[in-house]
Amino acid sequence: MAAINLKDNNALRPSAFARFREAISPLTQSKTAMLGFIMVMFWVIIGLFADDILFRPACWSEDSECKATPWLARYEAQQSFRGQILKDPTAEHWLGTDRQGRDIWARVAHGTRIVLALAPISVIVALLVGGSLGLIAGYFGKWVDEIIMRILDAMIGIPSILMYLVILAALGPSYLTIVLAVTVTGAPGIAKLVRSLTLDIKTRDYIAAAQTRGESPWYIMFVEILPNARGPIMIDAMLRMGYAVFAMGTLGFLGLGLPPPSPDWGSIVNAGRTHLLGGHPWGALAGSLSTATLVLGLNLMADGLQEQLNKYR
Amino acid sequence: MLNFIVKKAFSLLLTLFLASLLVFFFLEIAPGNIAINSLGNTITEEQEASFNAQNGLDQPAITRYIRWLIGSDWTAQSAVGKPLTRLYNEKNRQYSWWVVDTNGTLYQNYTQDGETMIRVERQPDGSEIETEMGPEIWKTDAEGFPTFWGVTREGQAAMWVKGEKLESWVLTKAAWKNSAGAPRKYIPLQMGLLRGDPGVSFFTGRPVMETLVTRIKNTLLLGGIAFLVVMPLALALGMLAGLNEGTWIDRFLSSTSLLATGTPEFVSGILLILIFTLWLDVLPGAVVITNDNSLFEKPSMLVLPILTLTLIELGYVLRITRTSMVEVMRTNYIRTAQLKGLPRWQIVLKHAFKNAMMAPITIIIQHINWLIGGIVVVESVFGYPGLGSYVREAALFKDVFAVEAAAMVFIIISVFTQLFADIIYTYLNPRIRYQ
Repeated sequence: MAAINLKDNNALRPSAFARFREAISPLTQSKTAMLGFIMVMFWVIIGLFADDILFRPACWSEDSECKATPWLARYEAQQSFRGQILKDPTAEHWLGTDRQGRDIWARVAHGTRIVLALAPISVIVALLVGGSLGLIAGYFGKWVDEIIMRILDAMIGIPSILMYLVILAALGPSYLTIVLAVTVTGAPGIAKLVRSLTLDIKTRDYIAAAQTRGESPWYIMFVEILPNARGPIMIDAMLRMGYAVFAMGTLGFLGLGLPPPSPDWGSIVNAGRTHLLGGHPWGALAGSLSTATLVLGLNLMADGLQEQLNKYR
Repeated sequence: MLNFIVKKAFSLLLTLFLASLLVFFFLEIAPGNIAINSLGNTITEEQEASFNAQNGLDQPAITRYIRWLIGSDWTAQSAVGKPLTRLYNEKNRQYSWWVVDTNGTLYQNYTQDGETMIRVERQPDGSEIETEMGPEIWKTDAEGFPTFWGVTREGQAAMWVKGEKLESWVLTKAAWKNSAGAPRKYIPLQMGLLRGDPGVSFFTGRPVMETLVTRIKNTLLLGGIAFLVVMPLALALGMLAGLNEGTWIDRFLSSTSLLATGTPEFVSGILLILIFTLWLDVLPGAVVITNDNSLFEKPSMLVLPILTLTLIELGYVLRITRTSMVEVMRTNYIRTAQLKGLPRWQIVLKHAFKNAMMAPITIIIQHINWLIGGIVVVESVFGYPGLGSYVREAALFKDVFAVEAAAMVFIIISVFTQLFADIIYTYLNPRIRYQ
């Protein structure tokens, strides 16, 4: 995309609105990307407005005794309704109730927050680790490159699900372990991508200019190379966000996700699957379809943006 | 070509070595507590220390890694001073370790008071005779303590120190058993992963290898059939889509494949169970194994797991095949063939086919990694007793040796298929052969 550096020329800088439109133009130009964007935004809105707690900063600390008012979620995630065990969908309980008499829609809506918070965090951590490794390997080359890439190749050779299982079995399920698992499996792929981009950009004239100016390697890597590689990296990050949601769902499903009563989607599926053959598929179905739509939305967005990016080339 | 294969094989060994380090590092060195994970968090500190000592978990990481990889019997042999041997007990399906005496008899040792060692001698018919040993067996070691090296009843080489009142704790089926006269130092006996013994499961108390073999067979059956179904289907459909670029067939196939790849395995599994088991009631939604031949007696149990695996793989391979076909059909030599007036089927089969297959075939083989991920989930969805559900169960119970062994098997499979894919690709495409 626009690789022109406007840094020292403020007069040429377009207005904030125009820049915003330019930034999202690949999104609006592609139908696929737009469809994906809508699917993702659906869940973002549900996550934001599940209840009012996000909009009351006084309630954010752990020990505050605020009572949340449910909005889109309609009920609280752990509120159980007496006598309403494994009910089919009704007007009161849109998606039915689970074994403990909790409203499945409320759990899905609250679970959205966990999914939509953990996935980006773990991808960002993976980007930081993988991106730095890729930059270092690509920029310094020689034995540094050799050592880093050998280790990363070995990590790519391990199927990611095994990585998840090994890490979760070793450290036990928690937010931190899930972020760590996604980072460890995602970082090698990011590093390889960033390395190949670095190898390409390294040969450009403006890098040679910076080297002649006597800039430090770190300045060149993070200020000159990284911003010019952002397009493919962002698309890759979007795909990886999909993988992260995918992975969290799978882990929850396998019983290795967050411990109960966490309402994350994988755990909802895992709790619901035992009643699947008993004729109450609602829990399993709700968690599954939520995961599937979010992953699909992210994939569609990445696909559409990739197409647009290829057009510019 | 040979040069290329040797280079690849070397990098494969390196990959396996690094992978084994990673797996070992995470499971055994990371700050998780194996004793508490295996025995529950009600154990006392003495019990924990005793468990760690008996299983060698208090030893330095490098010692444990070497023992896990290539075994510990050879270090133990030099400590005991006599050869050791491993026997398999058919009845309780466990291994036992024995010292081979100079006259060929097998024996183990224990003591109840730390003064008198008792020698348990194994008779040829499997029975055991216990005799007390005299004080002459205690040998003074370098630090001046009277010590004795032997093999315990539980399968460790151990060093007893005379007169020491140490206690050991063992969790039996009923309760914790506390016995006096414990050794000062243990070397848990193990043949090592590379020699086919990945250790004894903390959960079942049985050798991991034994369970592993049946599970591997089951998984190869499931994965093999799925592979044979997916490969021709995805290639055929991908070619169909590629040849009809832009038509409704193409659009239908492309969007369906995008949908299938983007859907997590557990979601498609659950949807298939819903449709075929709950609503249509035509296929069983779970795999139930009652005897060794169950799978062959009721093959309908396999249909849904295979279908789920197929759905995941199909989409990806289909898209690659389609793109590859579209690219090939745009090349100049195909246009030449068209201008020559050759019939379309001849162009496709004779000229386009081989070149269009190159990318997808490599992708399929490299994709074994994905298939493995799919297999873990699909086996868990349908309760299929394969390696995938084994590694999951082991991870749930934090059965360290079992997770390590199963993970290494999967890694070996995936790494070797990748080497295979590389070789095939270079064979098919001579242009990259000598780079």
